[in-house]
Amino acid sequence: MLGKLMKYEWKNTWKAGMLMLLGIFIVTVAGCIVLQMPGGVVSNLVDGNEANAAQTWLVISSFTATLILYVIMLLASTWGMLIFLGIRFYRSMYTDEGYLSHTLPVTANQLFLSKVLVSGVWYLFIMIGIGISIVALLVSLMMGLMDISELSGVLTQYNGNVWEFLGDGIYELNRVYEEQMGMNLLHYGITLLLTYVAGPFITMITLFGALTIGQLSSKHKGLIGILAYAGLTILSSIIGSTVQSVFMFSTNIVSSAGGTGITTNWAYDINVLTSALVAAIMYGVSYYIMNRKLNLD
Amino acid sequence: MNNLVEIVNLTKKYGSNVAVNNLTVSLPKGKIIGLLGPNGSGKTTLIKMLNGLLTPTEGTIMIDGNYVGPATKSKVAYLPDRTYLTMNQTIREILDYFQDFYADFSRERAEEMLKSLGIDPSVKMRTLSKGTKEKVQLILVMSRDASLYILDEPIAGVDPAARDYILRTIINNYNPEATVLISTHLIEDVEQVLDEVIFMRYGQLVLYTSVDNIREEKGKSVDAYFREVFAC
Repeated sequence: MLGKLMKYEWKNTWKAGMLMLLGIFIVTVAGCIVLQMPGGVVSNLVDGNEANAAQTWLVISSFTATLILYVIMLLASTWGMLIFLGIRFYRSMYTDEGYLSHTLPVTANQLFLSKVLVSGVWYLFIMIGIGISIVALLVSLMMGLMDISELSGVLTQYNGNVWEFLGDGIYELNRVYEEQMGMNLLHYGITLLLTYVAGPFITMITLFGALTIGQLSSKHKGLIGILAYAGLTILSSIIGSTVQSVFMFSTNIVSSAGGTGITTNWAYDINVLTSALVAAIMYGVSYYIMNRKLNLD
Repeated sequence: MNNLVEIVNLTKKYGSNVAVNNLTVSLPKGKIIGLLGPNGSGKTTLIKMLNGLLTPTEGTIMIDGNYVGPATKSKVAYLPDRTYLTMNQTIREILDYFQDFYADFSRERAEEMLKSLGIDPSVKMRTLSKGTKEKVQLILVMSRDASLYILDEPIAGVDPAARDYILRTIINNYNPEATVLISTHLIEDVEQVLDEVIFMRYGQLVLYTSVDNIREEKGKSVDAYFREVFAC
């Protein structure tokens, strides 16, 4: 039954998800075109070389417009998708449509999980889309600023072996991170990847759990659900930041006392674990409410 | 045991307000039962608890030997007093949905009924009139071979011709081994099809008897007797 539930959840969300991804794609392409202005206009400006007034105006206005549009698009796609998925969950579970959802011969766990999985996947796609978009824009910007012959010169030292060049770069970066920040870059990378992949699912569990908590109220259930989500997000951040700060502070003391262990990584891990713990609690709470406290108006 | 539904000491409270109060009743198999009572008597609350949409404050419900859950939901066909279908879906998509989730759903029967009413399955729900939406919902519910059909106000808000159609649909399509529980205010229209009636007031059982009993012992129709019992 979980597969069937997911199939219909997918059918009901794919159009909105594709629309958001299309929006990100269009803004990214527009951004890349603007940031790769021909004729060395950008580099001239950055280097402080003379450029005529028309060129300067064109570059500054294009950059500003691109940046504004880009930020708006990022916010619209992340928040837009979050709001869409939240409304979709609420409507299908706790309004008239909930009368059908909750009378299907499925368990509360299957119902909740199907929504978390499909919504989480869509949110992950949006995050990946944004990640690719940022990388594409940065590459475009660098290509606008950089003299390609310089890069070719560097690569010549490596006989054109890009992988060796990248390997040396990462090794150097890792050394700097370890010496100056007490961090292992590989460990940090894994933490970051986990956050990136698990984050959307954690967000969905927290959001859907908060909306489910709102059902415990006799009035303004939707509003209380939204407030519960805001409260939980803030609480989770405060707990994560506090634990992280305490951990980093104690790490500094250990380091100054001659300790050599790379413990800064753990501070970031704890932040991720805090969010995961909040999500696990919310999953349990949602399951309990749907099984033992469901009261559809 | 010939009972399909066993309700024991069932209570539902909303704060200090008691919607269903210590109700104990058993419903047999193979009967059409009218659930009757004035507004606020607890009919819809009881129906929602039977369908797992409300959690009882106290007491238990068993349907065909199971507590309310996925097992009972696969045997109960429920028509709520509102439109619960997604408005941006076509009727055909909704048929697919029912076919996927309910093993006892007969698509052929549903398509036949839609055809007899001249309803095009390719249209979206939002384009239909209120009466047609109600008919579509009824068709979906009555196209199942369920053990228990629970119909909450199935003929409210539709014209007399549509009422006749709805009642005919119920009579012609329900599984004779199954029980049909119909909640309604329009007693005169439905009493012709009822075998038994339950009268409820203030969340409590006032009367549970057969329609023949009311006619023979009281010498009245169910509608007339209801008016007498619940006279203001």
